[in-house]
Amino acid sequence: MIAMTFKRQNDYLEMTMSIDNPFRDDSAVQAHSGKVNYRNFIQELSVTCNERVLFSAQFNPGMASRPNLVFRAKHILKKDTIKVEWLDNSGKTAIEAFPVTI
Amino acid sequence: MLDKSRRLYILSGLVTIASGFLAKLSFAAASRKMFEANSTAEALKNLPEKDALEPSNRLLIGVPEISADPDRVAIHLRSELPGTDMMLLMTANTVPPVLAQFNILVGTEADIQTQIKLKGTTTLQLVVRAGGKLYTAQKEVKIAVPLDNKLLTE
Repeated sequence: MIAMTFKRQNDYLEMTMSIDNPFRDDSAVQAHSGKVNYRNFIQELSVTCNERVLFSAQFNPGMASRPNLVFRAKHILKKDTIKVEWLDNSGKTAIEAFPVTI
Repeated sequence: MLDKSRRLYILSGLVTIASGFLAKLSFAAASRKMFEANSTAEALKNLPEKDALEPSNRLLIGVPEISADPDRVAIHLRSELPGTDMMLLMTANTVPPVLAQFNILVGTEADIQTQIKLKGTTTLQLVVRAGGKLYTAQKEVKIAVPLDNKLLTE
């Protein structure tokens, strides 16, 4: 569901998250099929490193489909593990872990 | 005596956990309420800070002035204000207006790049909380049809 790549920039670790979610809103679907509330998007997302929260976000379906999210954080070492926890609008949730390789 | 102190210890632990959980729930509920607002002014009412927004030239909204692909507009948000802990991205003419809220914690740079979709030419508004105060910046993005480069207006 989420892929993550890392790039080291001085003291910072740049993290690029590819979020495999359509961020679909229901306006176009309602117009074509009459279905209501046909939404699929990630509502909340939080990123932690060794139980320290780095970043959290909340979204609405106005995000682009399958967006990338790029941000930078300090004090992250090689072999630390980045955990991404997300919750979508249907209540589905998951925690994905990514070891820092650089 | 031992039983009583143990009971008190367990009770205080439970109260601490419950209060933390309730605080988290109420914060999440207030945040989601903001995402259901019908206008930018209504969305801002859900923030705990009640001060007026202060325009700041230390905020960057990096978007192309004219975009040919409304389904994928790259956006770069950056705050150079010290102590930035929240960034809120809104559009002027969509319902709901709030696109995303980012909470920046200590050690993370207030510099985010992502992609959004826009329904037409609009003004993007970035609201940032830094040091307990709210600051804002705006930028217009025009959406063009690629073939004749005609501007879309809603």
